[in-house]
Amino acid sequence: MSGGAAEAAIAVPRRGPGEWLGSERFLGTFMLAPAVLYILVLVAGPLLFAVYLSLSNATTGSYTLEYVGAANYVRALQNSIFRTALANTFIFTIISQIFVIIFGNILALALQEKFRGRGIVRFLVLLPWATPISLAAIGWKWMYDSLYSVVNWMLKAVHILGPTDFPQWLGEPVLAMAAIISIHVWRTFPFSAVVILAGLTSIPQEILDAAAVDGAGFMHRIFYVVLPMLLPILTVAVLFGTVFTFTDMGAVYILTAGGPFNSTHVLSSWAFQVGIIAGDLAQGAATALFLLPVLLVAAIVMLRIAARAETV
Amino acid sequence: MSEEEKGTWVRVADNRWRRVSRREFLKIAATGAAAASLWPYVNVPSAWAQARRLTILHWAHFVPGYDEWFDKTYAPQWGKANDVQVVVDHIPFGQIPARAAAEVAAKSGHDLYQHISPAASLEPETEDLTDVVEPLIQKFGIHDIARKSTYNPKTKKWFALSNSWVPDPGHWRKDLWDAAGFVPDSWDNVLQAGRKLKARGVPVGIGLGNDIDANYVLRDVLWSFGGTTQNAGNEITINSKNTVEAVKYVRALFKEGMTPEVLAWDASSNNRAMLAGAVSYVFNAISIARTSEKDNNALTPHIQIWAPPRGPQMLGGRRLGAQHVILAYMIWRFTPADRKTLAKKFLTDFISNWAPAFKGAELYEFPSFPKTVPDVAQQVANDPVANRLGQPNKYRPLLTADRWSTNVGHPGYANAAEAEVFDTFILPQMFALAATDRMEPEAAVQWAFRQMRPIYAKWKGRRLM
Amino acid sequence: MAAAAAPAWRSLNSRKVLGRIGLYLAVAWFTFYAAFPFVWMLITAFKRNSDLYNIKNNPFLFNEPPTLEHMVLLFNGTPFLRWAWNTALIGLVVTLITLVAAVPAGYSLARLARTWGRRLGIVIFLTYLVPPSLLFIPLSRVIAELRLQDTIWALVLVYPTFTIPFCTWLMMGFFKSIPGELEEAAMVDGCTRLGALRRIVLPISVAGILTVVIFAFALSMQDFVYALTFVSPTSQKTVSIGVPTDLVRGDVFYWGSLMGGALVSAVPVAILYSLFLDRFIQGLTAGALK
Repeated sequence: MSGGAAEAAIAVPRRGPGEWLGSERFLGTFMLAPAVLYILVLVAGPLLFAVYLSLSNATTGSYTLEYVGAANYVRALQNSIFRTALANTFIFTIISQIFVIIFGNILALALQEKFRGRGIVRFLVLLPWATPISLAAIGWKWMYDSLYSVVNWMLKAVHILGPTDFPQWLGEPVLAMAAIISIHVWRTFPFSAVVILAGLTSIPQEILDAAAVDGAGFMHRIFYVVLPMLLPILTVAVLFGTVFTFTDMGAVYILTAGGPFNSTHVLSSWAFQVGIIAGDLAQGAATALFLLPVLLVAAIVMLRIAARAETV
Repeated sequence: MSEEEKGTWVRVADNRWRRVSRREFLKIAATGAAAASLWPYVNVPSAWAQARRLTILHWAHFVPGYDEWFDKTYAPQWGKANDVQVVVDHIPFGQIPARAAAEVAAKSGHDLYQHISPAASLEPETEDLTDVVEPLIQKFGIHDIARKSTYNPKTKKWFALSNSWVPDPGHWRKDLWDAAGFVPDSWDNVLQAGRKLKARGVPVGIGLGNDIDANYVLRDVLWSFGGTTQNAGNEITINSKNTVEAVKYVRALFKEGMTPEVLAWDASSNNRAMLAGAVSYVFNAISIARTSEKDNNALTPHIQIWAPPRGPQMLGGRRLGAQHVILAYMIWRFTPADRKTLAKKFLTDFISNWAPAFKGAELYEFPSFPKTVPDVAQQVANDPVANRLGQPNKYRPLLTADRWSTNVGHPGYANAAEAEVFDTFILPQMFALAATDRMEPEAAVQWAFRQMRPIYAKWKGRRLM
Repeated sequence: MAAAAAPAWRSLNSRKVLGRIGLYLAVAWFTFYAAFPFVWMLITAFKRNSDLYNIKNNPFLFNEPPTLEHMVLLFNGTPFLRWAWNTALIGLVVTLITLVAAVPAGYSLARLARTWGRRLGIVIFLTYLVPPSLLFIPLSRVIAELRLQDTIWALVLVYPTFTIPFCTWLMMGFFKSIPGELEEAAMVDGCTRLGALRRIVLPISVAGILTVVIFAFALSMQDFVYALTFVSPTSQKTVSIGVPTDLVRGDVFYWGSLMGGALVSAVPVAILYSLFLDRFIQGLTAGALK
């Protein structure tokens, strides 16, 4: 980071008629304002309202609110489906993020290389990300179909499955969770690869060359040179991926609707089911916001780490 | 892009800057052009735009031809007669509650909002339709399913108006069942035939997943075994011996007559499995029979329909099935008065002339106001497609549908608590937990009871029931 | 990079070959994983229903002649092109809004903001903790007040709420990776801060800006909860909501047309992305950082 002293030194000569415009402070505020205002008005406001809903007895059909304190949160915790969803949220997020980061890194490194057909590979790999999830998930649903699953057909063809086996991807809790994760990883890893690719380019070639000349092998360079320098962007990518996954319901909702026997719900899909479909808005809000405090702390810690990594 | 940019920073930046500025210029030009082409979007037709409009929200109907008829023939004709432009929008059936929630939150939306399952929780924000429904009842009578799904006896309010309900008969492969020597007339037969049919690779298919078909058919089983989810006084009755018997039955059927695929099913799976010849018995609206006719499926003559099976004699031997979906219109309370009047007139006119809709819906939908289609029996007995295919009796089992069909929440009303139990798939989960041996039947029933208790307490606390 | 950057230093032929094999294996796996669903969509979109629904058939072969009927239904039976246009338009406008808000904000966070600004920056990021599955309830009121209900502008207004935060952070990361001395040198030479930003920083941030463009566009294509709840007229729908509405009827999926719709909407966008990506990588390798 450029130090505060340098900024001050630059700011001083600019005092005068254009003082305000020239003032770094004003400029900083001015440039940040549109984004902050947008978010405050369209997210923070509604979020506060959602918090308020979660402490009330609102339904989708009635906003004559009565304050009920933490009753919705208590009731949520007492519900076994909620507890399953809570656990699933962590399983879903952690496992898919591990895959996304590993896949994203390898893919980014691979795409940096020159090889034949790289253009077409890049196109194919970007396809998942170019498909709206509502359609992509329907496509996957078709691939995991209870009768026509092409996944099973291929597994049989390569003799991983016996001729009479026909696993029900969406009918067995563990398999259904695996199916959901497979879609989520599929749709998010290209993006994480792009972000990492972008981060890779911020590493000056000289450093890599120097490391190579010093005798560092490929793996060594990756782990001791590239990854540390990627850390800031990687942290942001992980953080974003985590948070995005935590609040995502697309894959679950379209693929299994939480089934079989409500074993694959995550908090956001269960919140939608209870709060919107079944109409208990307050309960849904409590479910959706349940992890907000935890996430807040986690996110702030991670952002601090990211900031520290950058200032080194 | 790469070659000329080598060199000192300033020069590079300078070069780039000029490039950027050209790009910026192009961007501005393009934005201008885009802005011009966007103008049509500003003048978009929407709910609040003009006075003499009536906006209706429908699901995408089973029968594409029905939407075609309603949107392009019926609605414009009515609009012309009443000097109104009628706009019909469609959304997928699974998302009807979400859009309704958004319209209520926005206090702005469609003048007529059609649901496909009872939405009692929305009652506080809906117009009381007593002045529309009561005269229609005088004239045409009303089916009990419609009353129980759109009327709240506690608040004495008609919060919706149902135009039709859809029977949910069993679809069976007559050839296979004949070979097994049974007809699907009792659940006991289903189990016995199921054992044989499973051995032959064509099991029974009673859905156990998170989907509405499972929700309906499992209620059939529950009721046939004498169990209920609630009584007429809105008290939970799930924790009964009869429920345990029903759960035990489904567990036996799952193990002996079905395959685990029923756990993975969504609303479309039983259609596909039946049409592919992979199962021998499923429950659905008549969409399976209709699709096979349209696709010229070779199995068409063998796919027959039958009323839901009877329960065991010792448990009362009842024959009762849930309606498949129930179509009902709501008018939001916040809709401006003049448009409420218009919407009510539309409803009165639509119901009073519902006969063409019955025809358009190809026997999927049955009238909620029975006398609006006096010749239901003749039409069912003389379905043109069935006649053409040489199976004039195919849809005859539907003739008795109004006797064996009932509403979700039977014997009570389809209240908000029952709707939440339905929408969160508590019953399929109860049956599936026991069927897959994750719980003993008694424990599964107790589990369901524990799930339902707070739901009922909560909605009673909201004074809707 | 491994192969290109370390030649001549030590002849590591076997190592190189192994690396090459590893590379191709990795590439093959990712390509398969990413692209297989589309192969499957392609096959499904041109198969006759009678072929598709025959469990005994090899699903990869056309056991009966291919048919165009699903594509005809998609293009003639639904206003697919209108939806595609709506989707593209929303994506473009959202991207513009995102750029206008996120690029300056990112710069401000990277260079200008002090403690309070950084805290605000964190707050911006934390908005992702709010699940959209419920946020649409309060937002629908805002949309109605602004009279945007049932128009694509409702979506144009809402989508930046989830594109701006990440793009701001992304740009902040990029700006931080650019040495501050560059601007300082220019400012000593008499440039204003804004001038330095425009002439020096932005040109070498093309890569980051392109990422933001791709990201914002992609994310605005992904949404379906808002599209579903804010827009119901057929003429205003996006692909992500229009296609399932018209092609999933009650309990019948029109698989061929659905898969066709998914494919047709994905391919052009992916081509665009990969073109962008080309520029983006070129910009980086050609770049200033050498």
